[in-house]
Amino acid sequence: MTNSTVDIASVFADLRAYDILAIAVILVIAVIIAKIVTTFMKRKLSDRMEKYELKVLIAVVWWTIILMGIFIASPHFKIDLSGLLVAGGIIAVIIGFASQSVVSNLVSGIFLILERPVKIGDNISIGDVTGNVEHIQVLSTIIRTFEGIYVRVPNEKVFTSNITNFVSNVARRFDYKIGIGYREDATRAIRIIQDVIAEEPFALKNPEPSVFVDKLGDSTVDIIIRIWAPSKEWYDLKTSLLLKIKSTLEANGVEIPYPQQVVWVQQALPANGTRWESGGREEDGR
Amino acid sequence: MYGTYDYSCHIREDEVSVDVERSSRYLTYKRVCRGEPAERTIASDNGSLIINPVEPLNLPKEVTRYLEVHFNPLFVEPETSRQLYLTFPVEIGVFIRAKGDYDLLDVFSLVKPKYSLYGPPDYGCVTRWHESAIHPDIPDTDPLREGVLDLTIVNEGRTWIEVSRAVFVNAGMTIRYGDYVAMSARMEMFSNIVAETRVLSTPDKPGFTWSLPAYSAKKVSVVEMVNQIPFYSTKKVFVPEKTGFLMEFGLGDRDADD
Repeated sequence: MTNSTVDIASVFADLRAYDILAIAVILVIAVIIAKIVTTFMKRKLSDRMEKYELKVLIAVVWWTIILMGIFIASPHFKIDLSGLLVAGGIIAVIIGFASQSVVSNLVSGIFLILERPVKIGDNISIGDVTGNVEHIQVLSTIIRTFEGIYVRVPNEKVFTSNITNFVSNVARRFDYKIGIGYREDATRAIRIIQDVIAEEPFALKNPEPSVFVDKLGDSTVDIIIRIWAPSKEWYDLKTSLLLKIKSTLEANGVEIPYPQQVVWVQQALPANGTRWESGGREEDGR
Repeated sequence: MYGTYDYSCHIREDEVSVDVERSSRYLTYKRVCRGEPAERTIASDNGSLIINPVEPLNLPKEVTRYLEVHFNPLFVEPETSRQLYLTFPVEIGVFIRAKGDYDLLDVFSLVKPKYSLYGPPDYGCVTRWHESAIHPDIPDTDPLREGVLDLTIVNEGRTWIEVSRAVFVNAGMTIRYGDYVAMSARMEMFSNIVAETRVLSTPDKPGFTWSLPAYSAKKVSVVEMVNQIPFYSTKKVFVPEKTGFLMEFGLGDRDADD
Protein backbone atom coordinates (compact mmCIF):
# COMPACT_ATOMS: atom_id res chain seq x y z
CA MET A 1 0.00 0.00 0.00
CA THR A 2 2.79 2.30 1.01
CA ASN A 3 4.84 1.31 -2.04
CA SER A 4 2.00 2.02 -4.42
CA THR A 5 1.43 5.37 -2.76
CA VAL A 6 5.09 6.14 -3.17
CA ASP A 7 5.00 4.97 -6.80
CA ILE A 8 2.03 7.17 -7.66
CA ALA A 9 3.65 10.06 -5.85
CA SER A 10 6.85 9.49 -7.77
CA VAL A 11 4.91 9.33 -11.04
CA PHE A 12 3.32 12.69 -10.38
CA ALA A 13 6.67 14.05 -9.20
CA ASP A 14 8.22 13.14 -12.56
CA LEU A 15 5.54 14.99 -14.54
CA ARG A 16 6.60 18.17 -16.21
CA ALA A 17 4.38 21.14 -16.79
CA TYR A 18 4.16 20.18 -20.46
CA ASP A 19 2.86 16.70 -19.62
CA ILE A 20 0.33 18.06 -17.18
CA LEU A 21 -0.86 20.52 -19.79
CA ALA A 22 -1.08 17.79 -22.44
CA ILE A 23 -3.00 15.46 -20.13
CA ALA A 24 -5.40 18.26 -19.22
CA VAL A 25 -5.95 19.22 -22.85
CA ILE A 26 -6.53 15.61 -23.94
CA LEU A 27 -8.95 14.94 -21.11
CA VAL A 28 -10.82 18.19 -21.71
CA ILE A 29 -11.10 17.35 -25.43
CA ALA A 30 -12.32 13.83 -24.51
CA VAL A 31 -14.94 15.30 -22.18
CA ILE A 32 -16.06 17.79 -24.87
CA ILE A 33 -16.32 15.03 -27.49
CA ALA A 34 -18.20 12.81 -25.05
CA LYS A 35 -20.55 15.67 -24.26
CA ILE A 36 -21.19 16.42 -27.94
CA VAL A 37 -21.74 12.76 -28.83
CA THR A 38 -24.06 12.05 -25.89
CA THR A 39 -26.03 15.25 -26.47
CA PHE A 40 -26.44 14.25 -30.12
CA MET A 41 -27.57 10.80 -29.02
CA LYS A 42 -30.07 12.29 -26.59
CA ARG A 43 -31.56 14.49 -29.29
CA LYS A 44 -31.74 11.77 -31.91
CA LEU A 45 -32.72 8.79 -29.80
CA SER A 46 -34.86 10.14 -26.99
CA ASP A 47 -38.08 9.52 -28.92
CA ARG A 48 -36.91 6.20 -30.30
CA MET A 49 -35.61 4.39 -27.23
CA GLU A 50 -36.73 3.62 -23.76
CA LYS A 51 -35.44 6.20 -21.29
CA TYR A 52 -33.57 3.64 -19.19
CA GLU A 53 -31.93 1.98 -22.21
CA LEU A 54 -30.87 5.34 -23.58
CA LYS A 55 -29.36 6.26 -20.22
CA VAL A 56 -27.32 3.04 -20.14
CA LEU A 57 -26.22 3.48 -23.75
CA ILE A 58 -25.18 7.08 -23.15
CA ALA A 59 -23.20 6.04 -20.05
CA VAL A 60 -21.40 3.34 -22.04
CA VAL A 61 -20.54 5.76 -24.83
CA TRP A 62 -19.48 8.47 -22.36
CA TRP A 63 -17.06 6.20 -20.47
CA THR A 64 -15.71 4.65 -23.65
CA ILE A 65 -14.72 8.08 -24.94
CA ILE A 66 -13.27 9.12 -21.57
CA LEU A 67 -11.25 5.89 -21.31
CA MET A 68 -9.97 6.43 -24.84
CA GLY A 69 -8.89 9.93 -23.76
CA ILE A 70 -7.07 8.50 -20.73
CA PHE A 71 -5.43 5.89 -22.94
CA ILE A 72 -4.25 8.56 -25.39
CA ALA A 73 -2.98 10.68 -22.51
CA SER A 74 -1.26 7.76 -20.79
CA PRO A 75 2.23 8.29 -22.36
CA HIS A 76 2.40 11.62 -20.57
CA PHE A 77 1.95 9.84 -17.22
CA LYS A 78 5.36 8.14 -17.76
CA ILE A 79 3.75 4.81 -16.96
CA ASP A 80 4.83 1.68 -18.74
CA LEU A 81 1.57 0.31 -20.10
CA SER A 82 3.08 -2.68 -21.88
CA GLY A 83 2.10 -5.09 -19.07
CA LEU A 84 -1.33 -3.57 -18.89
CA LEU A 85 -1.71 -3.82 -22.64
CA VAL A 86 -0.86 -7.54 -22.64
CA ALA A 87 -3.28 -8.22 -19.81
CA GLY A 88 -5.86 -5.97 -21.39
CA GLY A 89 -5.40 -7.69 -24.72
CA ILE A 90 -5.99 -11.13 -23.24
CA ILE A 91 -9.03 -9.90 -21.35
CA ALA A 92 -10.32 -8.19 -24.48
CA VAL A 93 -10.00 -11.42 -26.48
CA ILE A 94 -11.86 -13.38 -23.79
CA ILE A 95 -14.57 -10.74 -23.49
CA GLY A 96 -14.72 -10.45 -27.26
CA PHE A 97 -15.38 -14.15 -27.72
CA ALA A 98 -17.83 -14.24 -24.85
CA SER A 99 -19.81 -11.21 -25.91
CA GLN A 100 -19.60 -11.56 -29.68
CA SER A 101 -23.33 -12.06 -30.15
CA VAL A 102 -24.19 -9.46 -27.53
CA VAL A 103 -22.07 -6.82 -29.24
CA SER A 104 -23.43 -7.85 -32.63
CA ASN A 105 -27.00 -7.48 -31.35
CA LEU A 106 -26.14 -4.17 -29.68
CA VAL A 107 -24.64 -2.69 -32.83
CA SER A 108 -27.52 -4.04 -34.91
CA GLY A 109 -29.96 -2.52 -32.43
CA ILE A 110 -28.30 0.89 -32.68
CA PHE A 111 -28.44 0.76 -36.47
CA LEU A 112 -32.08 -0.37 -36.35
CA ILE A 113 -32.92 2.53 -34.07
CA LEU A 114 -31.14 4.97 -36.37
CA GLU A 115 -32.36 3.55 -39.69
CA ARG A 116 -35.87 2.80 -38.40
CA PRO A 117 -37.02 0.22 -40.93
CA VAL A 118 -39.69 -0.69 -38.39
CA LYS A 119 -41.51 1.30 -35.75
CA ILE A 120 -43.47 0.27 -32.69
CA GLY A 121 -46.95 -0.74 -33.80
CA ASP A 122 -45.90 -1.66 -37.33
CA ASN A 123 -47.23 -4.83 -38.86
CA ILE A 124 -44.15 -6.68 -40.10
CA SER A 125 -42.76 -10.00 -41.19
CA ILE A 126 -39.21 -11.06 -40.35
CA GLY A 127 -38.23 -14.54 -41.45
CA ASP A 128 -41.04 -16.79 -40.33
CA VAL A 129 -42.34 -14.35 -37.70
CA THR A 130 -45.25 -12.10 -38.62
CA GLY A 131 -46.97 -9.73 -36.24
CA ASN A 132 -46.98 -6.30 -34.64
CA VAL A 133 -43.83 -4.68 -33.26
CA GLU A 134 -44.33 -4.26 -29.54
CA HIS A 135 -40.92 -3.00 -28.51
CA ILE A 136 -37.54 -2.19 -30.05
CA GLN A 137 -34.82 -2.69 -27.45
CA VAL A 138 -31.08 -2.32 -27.72
CA LEU A 139 -30.50 -6.06 -28.00
CA SER A 140 -33.78 -7.43 -29.31
CA THR A 141 -37.08 -6.62 -30.95
CA ILE A 142 -40.32 -7.86 -29.43
CA ILE A 143 -43.08 -8.95 -31.79
CA ARG A 144 -46.61 -9.96 -30.87
CA THR A 145 -47.87 -12.37 -33.47
CA PHE A 146 -51.45 -12.22 -34.69
CA GLU A 147 -52.17 -15.20 -32.43
CA GLY A 148 -51.03 -13.09 -29.47
CA ILE A 149 -47.72 -14.93 -29.00
CA TYR A 150 -44.73 -13.05 -27.58
CA VAL A 151 -41.67 -13.47 -29.83
CA ARG A 152 -38.25 -12.02 -29.03
CA VAL A 153 -36.11 -11.63 -32.15
CA PRO A 154 -32.40 -10.77 -31.64
CA ASN A 155 -31.58 -7.50 -33.35
CA GLU A 156 -28.82 -9.12 -35.38
CA LYS A 157 -31.43 -11.34 -37.02
CA VAL A 158 -33.75 -8.39 -37.58
CA PHE A 159 -30.92 -6.39 -39.11
CA THR A 160 -29.69 -9.13 -41.43
CA SER A 161 -33.10 -10.51 -42.46
CA ASN A 162 -35.44 -9.34 -45.14
CA ILE A 163 -38.01 -7.19 -43.37
CA THR A 164 -41.47 -6.84 -44.85
CA ASN A 165 -43.22 -3.85 -43.33
CA PHE A 166 -46.87 -4.02 -44.28
CA VAL A 167 -47.73 -0.53 -43.03
CA SER A 168 -44.62 1.44 -43.87
CA ASN A 169 -46.38 3.03 -46.84
CA VAL A 170 -49.58 4.93 -46.20
CA ALA A 171 -51.55 2.88 -48.72
CA ARG A 172 -51.36 -0.59 -50.19
CA ARG A 173 -53.18 -2.65 -52.77
CA PHE A 174 -54.99 -5.94 -52.55
CA ASP A 175 -56.48 -8.10 -55.28
CA TYR A 176 -59.46 -10.38 -55.73
CA LYS A 177 -60.22 -12.81 -58.53
CA ILE A 178 -63.87 -13.58 -59.19
CA GLY A 179 -65.14 -15.98 -61.82
CA ILE A 180 -68.54 -15.41 -63.40
CA GLY A 181 -70.43 -17.74 -65.71
CA TYR A 182 -69.90 -17.59 -69.44
CA ARG A 183 -73.56 -16.72 -69.95
CA GLU A 184 -73.26 -13.58 -67.80
CA ASP A 185 -72.73 -10.06 -69.14
CA ALA A 186 -69.16 -9.33 -67.98
CA THR A 187 -69.55 -5.58 -68.59
CA ARG A 188 -72.57 -5.48 -66.31
CA ALA A 189 -70.80 -7.55 -63.67
CA ILE A 190 -67.84 -5.16 -63.75
CA ARG A 191 -70.15 -2.18 -63.32
CA ILE A 192 -71.85 -3.83 -60.33
CA ILE A 193 -68.47 -4.53 -58.73
CA GLN A 194 -67.34 -0.94 -59.35
CA ASP A 195 -70.50 0.36 -57.66
CA VAL A 196 -69.87 -1.81 -54.60
CA ILE A 197 -66.27 -0.54 -54.38
CA ALA A 198 -67.42 3.07 -54.78
CA GLU A 199 -69.62 2.69 -51.70
CA GLU A 200 -66.68 1.66 -49.52
CA PRO A 201 -65.13 4.67 -47.75
CA PHE A 202 -61.68 3.13 -47.48
CA ALA A 203 -61.48 1.80 -51.05
CA LEU A 204 -59.40 4.72 -52.23
CA LYS A 205 -60.64 6.98 -54.99
CA ASN A 206 -57.08 7.53 -56.15
CA PRO A 207 -55.26 5.32 -57.16
CA GLU A 208 -58.41 4.29 -58.93
CA PRO A 209 -59.69 0.74 -58.37
CA SER A 210 -59.12 -1.49 -61.34
CA VAL A 211 -61.70 -4.11 -62.42
CA PHE A 212 -61.14 -6.04 -65.63
CA VAL A 213 -61.57 -9.40 -67.35
CA ASP A 214 -58.28 -11.19 -66.90
CA LYS A 215 -58.80 -14.63 -68.33
CA LEU A 216 -61.30 -16.88 -70.04
CA GLY A 217 -60.97 -19.84 -67.70
CA ASP A 218 -62.13 -23.43 -67.97
CA SER A 219 -65.36 -22.80 -66.12
CA THR A 220 -65.59 -19.05 -65.67
CA VAL A 221 -64.75 -15.64 -67.03
CA ASP A 222 -62.17 -14.46 -64.50
CA ILE A 223 -62.45 -10.87 -63.33
CA ILE A 224 -59.54 -9.29 -61.47
CA ILE A 225 -60.26 -6.56 -58.91
CA ARG A 226 -57.45 -4.34 -57.66
CA ILE A 227 -58.16 -1.94 -54.81
CA TRP A 228 -55.94 0.47 -52.90
CA ALA A 229 -56.69 1.09 -49.23
CA PRO A 230 -55.05 2.92 -46.33
CA SER A 231 -52.47 0.53 -44.89
CA LYS A 232 -54.09 0.61 -41.48
CA GLU A 233 -57.46 -0.37 -42.91
CA TRP A 234 -56.63 -2.70 -45.76
CA TYR A 235 -57.08 -5.93 -43.83
CA ASP A 236 -60.54 -5.04 -42.52
CA LEU A 237 -61.55 -3.90 -45.98
CA LYS A 238 -60.14 -6.98 -47.67
CA THR A 239 -61.92 -9.35 -45.33
CA SER A 240 -65.28 -7.62 -45.63
CA LEU A 241 -65.50 -6.45 -49.22
CA LEU A 242 -65.37 -9.80 -51.01
CA LEU A 243 -68.53 -10.99 -49.30
CA LYS A 244 -70.30 -7.75 -50.27
CA ILE A 245 -69.26 -8.18 -53.89
CA LYS A 246 -70.41 -11.80 -53.93
CA SER A 247 -73.76 -10.95 -52.31
CA THR A 248 -74.37 -8.02 -54.66
CA LEU A 249 -73.50 -10.07 -57.75
CA GLU A 250 -75.84 -12.84 -56.65
CA ALA A 251 -78.57 -10.32 -55.80
CA ASN A 252 -78.26 -9.02 -59.35
CA GLY A 253 -78.52 -12.50 -60.79
CA VAL A 254 -74.89 -12.85 -61.79
CA GLU A 255 -73.85 -16.47 -61.40
CA ILE A 256 -70.55 -17.40 -59.76
CA PRO A 257 -70.42 -21.01 -60.94
CA TYR A 258 -68.74 -24.08 -59.50
CA PRO A 259 -65.94 -25.60 -61.58
CA GLN A 260 -67.73 -27.42 -64.36
CA GLN A 261 -67.14 -29.30 -67.57
CA VAL A 262 -69.59 -29.20 -70.47
CA VAL A 263 -69.76 -32.50 -72.37
CA TRP A 264 -71.25 -32.48 -75.85
CA VAL A 265 -72.61 -35.78 -77.18
CA GLN A 266 -72.81 -35.93 -80.94
CA GLN A 267 -75.91 -38.16 -81.07
CA ALA A 268 -78.69 -39.00 -78.69
CA LEU A 269 -77.97 -41.77 -76.19
CA PRO A 270 -79.65 -45.07 -77.12
CA ALA A 271 -82.39 -46.72 -75.12
CA ASN A 272 -81.62 -49.63 -72.78
CA GLY A 273 -80.54 -52.81 -74.50
CA THR A 274 -79.35 -51.05 -77.62
CA ARG A 275 -75.68 -51.29 -78.50
CA TRP A 276 -73.82 -48.90 -80.71
CA GLU A 277 -71.11 -49.92 -83.06
CA SER A 278 -68.48 -47.72 -84.49
CA GLY A 279 -69.95 -45.76 -87.36
CA GLY A 280 -73.23 -45.32 -85.51
CA ARG A 281 -75.03 -48.41 -86.81
CA GLU A 282 -77.69 -49.63 -84.37
CA GLU A 283 -77.86 -53.28 -83.38
CA ASP A 284 -80.21 -55.24 -81.24
CA GLY A 285 -78.40 -56.42 -78.10
CA ARG A 286 -80.55 -59.34 -77.40
CA MET B 1 -79.89 21.73 -35.49
CA TYR B 2 -76.68 23.56 -34.68
CA GLY B 3 -76.53 25.31 -31.33
CA THR B 4 -76.39 24.79 -27.57
CA TYR B 5 -78.95 22.65 -25.80
CA ASP B 6 -79.64 21.66 -22.22
CA TYR B 7 -80.05 18.10 -21.01
CA SER B 8 -83.71 17.86 -21.93
CA CYS B 9 -83.33 18.23 -25.65
CA HIS B 10 -85.22 16.31 -28.30
CA ILE B 11 -84.14 17.21 -31.80
CA ARG B 12 -85.63 15.96 -35.05
CA GLU B 13 -84.27 17.22 -38.32
CA ASP B 14 -83.84 15.60 -41.70
CA GLU B 15 -82.77 12.00 -41.09
CA VAL B 16 -81.35 12.78 -37.64
CA SER B 17 -82.82 12.53 -34.18
CA VAL B 18 -81.04 13.41 -30.93
CA ASP B 19 -82.55 12.78 -27.52
CA VAL B 20 -81.26 13.01 -23.99
CA GLU B 21 -83.22 11.03 -21.43
CA ARG B 22 -82.77 11.47 -17.72
CA SER B 23 -82.94 8.51 -15.35
CA SER B 24 -82.42 8.63 -11.61
CA ARG B 25 -78.62 8.84 -11.73
CA TYR B 26 -77.54 9.05 -15.32
CA LEU B 27 -78.39 10.69 -18.59
CA THR B 28 -78.73 8.68 -21.73
CA TYR B 29 -77.81 10.30 -25.01
CA LYS B 30 -79.46 8.64 -28.01
CA ARG B 31 -78.86 9.55 -31.60
CA VAL B 32 -80.13 8.05 -34.83
CA CYS B 33 -78.64 9.19 -38.13
CA ARG B 34 -79.92 7.62 -41.33
CA GLY B 35 -81.15 4.69 -39.30
CA GLU B 36 -77.82 4.17 -37.59
CA PRO B 37 -78.19 4.43 -33.79
CA ALA B 38 -75.66 5.49 -31.16
CA GLU B 39 -76.04 5.67 -27.41
CA ARG B 40 -73.90 7.19 -24.64
CA THR B 41 -74.39 7.23 -20.88
CA ILE B 42 -73.50 10.49 -19.15
CA ALA B 43 -72.84 11.15 -15.48
CA SER B 44 -73.51 14.85 -15.14
CA ASP B 45 -75.88 17.11 -13.26
CA ASN B 46 -75.62 20.45 -14.97
CA GLY B 47 -74.18 20.94 -18.37
CA SER B 48 -75.06 21.37 -21.98
CA LEU B 49 -74.75 19.80 -25.37
CA ILE B 50 -73.19 21.75 -28.19
CA ILE B 51 -73.99 20.55 -31.68
CA ASN B 52 -71.97 22.06 -34.50
CA PRO B 53 -70.31 21.13 -37.77
CA VAL B 54 -66.80 19.73 -37.35
CA GLU B 55 -64.00 19.03 -39.77
CA PRO B 56 -64.96 16.02 -41.91
CA LEU B 57 -62.11 13.75 -40.88
CA ASN B 58 -63.62 11.52 -38.23
CA LEU B 59 -65.83 8.96 -39.97
CA PRO B 60 -66.10 6.04 -40.21
CA LYS B 61 -62.92 6.29 -38.17
CA GLU B 62 -60.09 8.77 -38.01
CA VAL B 63 -57.42 7.74 -40.52
CA THR B 64 -56.13 11.05 -41.79
CA ARG B 65 -55.65 14.73 -41.05
CA TYR B 66 -56.16 15.89 -44.62
CA LEU B 67 -59.18 17.01 -46.60
CA GLU B 68 -58.96 16.97 -50.39
CA VAL B 69 -61.46 18.90 -52.46
CA HIS B 70 -61.48 17.94 -56.11
CA PHE B 71 -63.04 20.13 -58.79
CA ASN B 72 -63.09 20.56 -62.54
CA PRO B 73 -59.73 21.73 -63.90
CA LEU B 74 -59.25 25.48 -63.65
CA PHE B 75 -56.58 27.27 -65.67
CA VAL B 76 -55.13 30.19 -63.79
CA GLU B 77 -53.25 33.02 -65.45
CA PRO B 78 -49.71 33.81 -64.23
CA GLU B 79 -49.38 36.21 -61.31
CA THR B 80 -53.07 36.53 -60.68
CA SER B 81 -55.59 35.54 -58.02
CA ARG B 82 -59.25 34.56 -58.02
CA GLN B 83 -61.85 33.90 -55.41
CA LEU B 84 -64.08 30.90 -55.92
CA TYR B 85 -66.56 28.94 -53.92
CA LEU B 86 -66.37 25.20 -53.46
CA THR B 87 -68.22 22.85 -51.17
CA PHE B 88 -66.88 20.55 -48.49
CA PRO B 89 -68.54 17.67 -46.62
CA VAL B 90 -69.83 18.27 -43.13
CA GLU B 91 -69.69 16.01 -40.14
CA ILE B 92 -71.80 16.90 -37.14
CA GLY B 93 -70.11 16.92 -33.75
CA VAL B 94 -71.92 16.68 -30.43
CA PHE B 95 -69.89 18.09 -27.54
CA ILE B 96 -70.74 17.85 -23.89
CA ARG B 97 -69.77 20.79 -21.71
CA ALA B 98 -69.78 21.28 -17.96
CA LYS B 99 -67.72 23.37 -15.54
CA GLY B 100 -65.73 25.03 -18.28
CA ASP B 101 -64.53 21.79 -19.86
CA TYR B 102 -65.88 20.02 -22.88
CA ASP B 103 -65.39 16.79 -24.75
CA LEU B 104 -66.54 15.25 -27.99
CA LEU B 105 -69.47 12.93 -27.31
CA ASP B 106 -70.48 11.86 -30.79
CA VAL B 107 -69.80 12.50 -34.46
CA PHE B 108 -72.13 11.55 -37.28
CA SER B 109 -72.78 12.59 -40.82
CA LEU B 110 -75.43 12.50 -43.50
CA VAL B 111 -72.69 12.35 -46.13
CA LYS B 112 -71.04 9.08 -47.11
CA PRO B 113 -67.29 9.45 -46.65
CA LYS B 114 -64.74 8.57 -49.28
CA TYR B 115 -60.97 8.54 -48.98
CA SER B 116 -58.18 8.95 -51.47
CA LEU B 117 -54.41 9.14 -51.69
CA TYR B 118 -52.58 12.36 -52.46
CA GLY B 119 -49.10 11.60 -53.75
CA PRO B 120 -47.34 8.25 -54.01
CA PRO B 121 -48.07 5.41 -51.58
CA ASP B 122 -44.72 5.78 -49.80
CA TYR B 123 -44.52 9.53 -49.24
CA GLY B 124 -48.08 10.69 -49.92
CA CYS B 125 -50.96 11.05 -47.52
CA VAL B 126 -54.42 9.57 -47.24
CA THR B 127 -57.07 12.25 -47.68
CA ARG B 128 -60.80 12.60 -47.11
CA TRP B 129 -61.99 13.09 -50.68
CA HIS B 130 -64.80 15.35 -51.81
CA GLU B 131 -65.93 16.32 -55.30
CA SER B 132 -67.16 19.87 -55.72
CA ALA B 133 -68.35 22.10 -58.49
CA ILE B 134 -66.78 25.54 -58.88
CA HIS B 135 -69.23 28.29 -57.97
CA PRO B 136 -68.70 31.98 -58.73
CA ASP B 137 -70.99 32.95 -55.84
CA ILE B 138 -71.98 31.39 -52.53
CA PRO B 139 -73.93 28.27 -53.50
CA ASP B 140 -77.07 27.03 -51.83
CA THR B 141 -76.12 24.13 -49.62
CA ASP B 142 -77.75 21.93 -47.02
CA PRO B 143 -75.89 22.90 -43.81
CA LEU B 144 -76.26 19.36 -42.47
CA ARG B 145 -74.49 17.94 -45.50
CA GLU B 146 -72.18 20.46 -47.09
CA GLY B 147 -70.34 23.62 -46.23
CA VAL B 148 -69.14 26.46 -48.42
CA LEU B 149 -65.40 26.79 -48.89
CA ASP B 150 -64.41 30.33 -49.79
CA LEU B 151 -61.10 29.72 -51.55
CA THR B 152 -58.73 32.34 -52.83
CA ILE B 153 -56.29 30.88 -55.29
CA VAL B 154 -53.15 32.78 -56.15
CA ASN B 155 -50.85 31.91 -59.03
CA GLU B 156 -47.47 33.09 -57.81
CA GLY B 157 -45.65 31.69 -60.81
CA ARG B 158 -44.95 33.04 -64.26
CA THR B 159 -46.67 30.23 -66.12
CA TRP B 160 -50.26 29.12 -66.49
CA ILE B 161 -51.27 26.62 -63.85
CA GLU B 162 -53.96 23.98 -64.12
CA VAL B 163 -55.48 23.19 -60.76
CA SER B 164 -58.18 20.67 -59.90
CA ARG B 165 -57.54 19.81 -56.27
CA ALA B 166 -56.83 21.45 -52.98
CA VAL B 167 -55.63 19.62 -49.89
CA PHE B 168 -56.01 21.09 -46.40
CA VAL B 169 -54.66 19.92 -43.06
CA ASN B 170 -56.99 19.74 -40.08
CA ALA B 171 -54.80 21.97 -37.90
CA GLY B 172 -56.42 25.37 -37.92
CA MET B 173 -59.42 24.12 -39.90
CA THR B 174 -61.83 26.63 -38.47
CA ILE B 175 -65.48 26.24 -39.43
CA ARG B 176 -68.31 28.72 -38.88
CA TYR B 177 -72.02 28.18 -39.07
CA GLY B 178 -74.97 30.47 -39.58
CA ASP B 179 -77.21 30.49 -42.64
CA TYR B 180 -74.75 28.05 -44.05
CA VAL B 181 -71.58 26.26 -42.90
CA ALA B 182 -68.49 28.19 -43.96
CA MET B 183 -64.75 27.82 -44.17
CA SER B 184 -62.24 30.22 -45.73
CA ALA B 185 -58.93 29.19 -47.24
CA ARG B 186 -56.11 30.44 -49.40
CA MET B 187 -54.06 28.49 -51.90
CA GLU B 188 -50.78 29.88 -53.18
CA MET B 189 -49.59 28.04 -56.26
CA PHE B 190 -45.94 28.17 -57.22
CA SER B 191 -45.99 25.72 -60.13
CA ASN B 192 -48.10 22.90 -61.53
CA ILE B 193 -46.61 20.70 -58.83
CA VAL B 194 -46.30 22.80 -55.69
CA ALA B 195 -48.75 24.93 -53.73
CA GLU B 196 -49.37 25.88 -50.14
CA THR B 197 -52.85 25.82 -48.67
CA ARG B 198 -53.99 27.43 -45.46
CA VAL B 199 -57.38 27.59 -43.77
CA LEU B 200 -57.94 31.15 -42.62
CA SER B 201 -59.37 32.39 -39.38
CA THR B 202 -60.98 35.44 -40.89
CA PRO B 203 -62.70 38.03 -38.70
CA ASP B 204 -66.09 37.29 -37.24
CA LYS B 205 -69.01 37.38 -39.64
CA PRO B 206 -72.33 38.74 -38.39
CA GLY B 207 -74.80 35.93 -37.78
CA PHE B 208 -72.09 33.26 -37.74
CA THR B 209 -70.73 31.26 -34.83
CA TRP B 210 -67.37 29.53 -34.63
CA SER B 211 -67.59 25.75 -34.37
CA LEU B 212 -65.78 23.79 -31.71
CA PRO B 213 -63.29 21.66 -33.63
CA ALA B 214 -63.05 17.94 -32.99
CA TYR B 215 -59.33 17.63 -33.66
CA SER B 216 -57.44 19.98 -31.39
CA ALA B 217 -59.04 19.36 -28.06
CA LYS B 218 -55.79 18.39 -26.42
CA LYS B 219 -55.37 18.36 -22.69
CA VAL B 220 -52.35 20.46 -21.76
CA SER B 221 -51.26 22.11 -18.59
CA VAL B 222 -52.35 25.69 -18.25
CA VAL B 223 -51.06 28.16 -15.71
CA GLU B 224 -53.47 30.97 -14.92
CA MET B 225 -52.90 33.81 -12.48
CA VAL B 226 -55.92 34.00 -10.16
CA ASN B 227 -55.59 36.90 -7.71
CA GLN B 228 -51.85 36.90 -8.46
CA ILE B 229 -51.62 33.26 -7.37
CA PRO B 230 -50.59 30.75 -10.04
CA PHE B 231 -53.40 28.28 -10.59
CA TYR B 232 -52.43 25.08 -12.35
CA SER B 233 -55.04 23.17 -14.30
CA THR B 234 -55.56 21.08 -17.37
CA LYS B 235 -57.81 22.54 -19.99
CA LYS B 236 -58.54 21.92 -23.60
CA VAL B 237 -56.80 24.64 -25.49
CA PHE B 238 -56.07 25.15 -29.11
CA VAL B 239 -52.48 24.12 -29.47
CA PRO B 240 -50.84 26.22 -32.15
CA GLU B 241 -49.60 23.93 -34.86
CA LYS B 242 -48.31 24.35 -38.35
CA THR B 243 -51.53 25.33 -40.05
CA GLY B 244 -50.44 25.36 -43.69
CA PHE B 245 -50.05 22.36 -45.93
CA LEU B 246 -47.51 22.08 -48.71
CA MET B 247 -48.98 20.32 -51.71
CA GLU B 248 -45.90 18.93 -53.42
CA PHE B 249 -47.35 16.09 -55.46
CA GLY B 250 -49.21 18.10 -58.05
CA LEU B 251 -52.27 20.26 -58.32
CA GLY B 252 -54.08 18.54 -61.17
CA ASP B 253 -55.32 15.14 -62.22
CA ARG B 254 -52.62 14.72 -64.81
CA ASP B 255 -49.95 14.99 -62.11
CA ALA B 256 -51.79 12.43 -60.02
CA ASP B 257 -51.86 9.97 -62.87
CA ASP B 258 -48.16 10.33 -63.61
